[in-house]
Amino acid sequence: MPADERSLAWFRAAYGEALRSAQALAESLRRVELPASAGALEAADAGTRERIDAFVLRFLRLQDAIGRQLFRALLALEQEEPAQLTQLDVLDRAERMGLVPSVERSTSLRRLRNLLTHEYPERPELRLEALREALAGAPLLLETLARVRERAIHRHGLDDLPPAPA
Amino acid sequence: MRISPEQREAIRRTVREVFGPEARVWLFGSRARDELRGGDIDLYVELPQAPDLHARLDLEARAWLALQRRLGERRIDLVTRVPGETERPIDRIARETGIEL
Repeated sequence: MPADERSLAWFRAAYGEALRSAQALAESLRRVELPASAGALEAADAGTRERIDAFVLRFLRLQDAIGRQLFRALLALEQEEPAQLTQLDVLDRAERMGLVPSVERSTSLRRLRNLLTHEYPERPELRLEALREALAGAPLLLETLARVRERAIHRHGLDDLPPAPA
Repeated sequence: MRISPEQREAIRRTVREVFGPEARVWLFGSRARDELRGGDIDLYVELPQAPDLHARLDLEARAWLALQRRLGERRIDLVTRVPGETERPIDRIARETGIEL
């Protein structure tokens, strides 16, 4: 397969994976409700806890799909050598292309990861704060996917890409 | 300690710029030990105040980015603790086995 075709196949696969995560995340955003206090979070029923866990998983999955694959696949389409780029290089380029509002905001959302994946039983209020932060950041991930799609359409003619959920 | 005086100064300056002049920083993990080679730069920072989580993540992101840019592209791990927060095992290990910069 020529390099261009390889990049294109990679990008389509990466977009498809991110899109599936985004659709699941959008579904979670409609369903998830955070309890009002740390105490209520600890006492939440099984259904509420499952919806929260599903939201967290989908948030992290979309974050990974975008950060680890989609941006790099897009850069490959743009004739860059993503293998030579560090994670920070990739983020810098994503900011310059207008895909993310700022490297700082993306990094800050990235740092949520530890808080979301580890339970800190002695600090239930930290869990609630981390969930709120993820909930506030989730639309940014969806927006990023939409911007990647716009760029892929306008720069690379991929106008058959299905839209990202809002 | 296996970081250069310039790197040490860059770390001290960044931590104080971002978290405030009273923030304290320790180097721990393999870079704190002379007999090892290579390895990530593991930093542990004690913040003077406890910002809310949004502000804290924002500060951590700014500090981490500034460190990445100033120290070059090696792996930097940044752990923070705020006053009043329950001590995790990693906090104690960092302070007891690390070197304050």
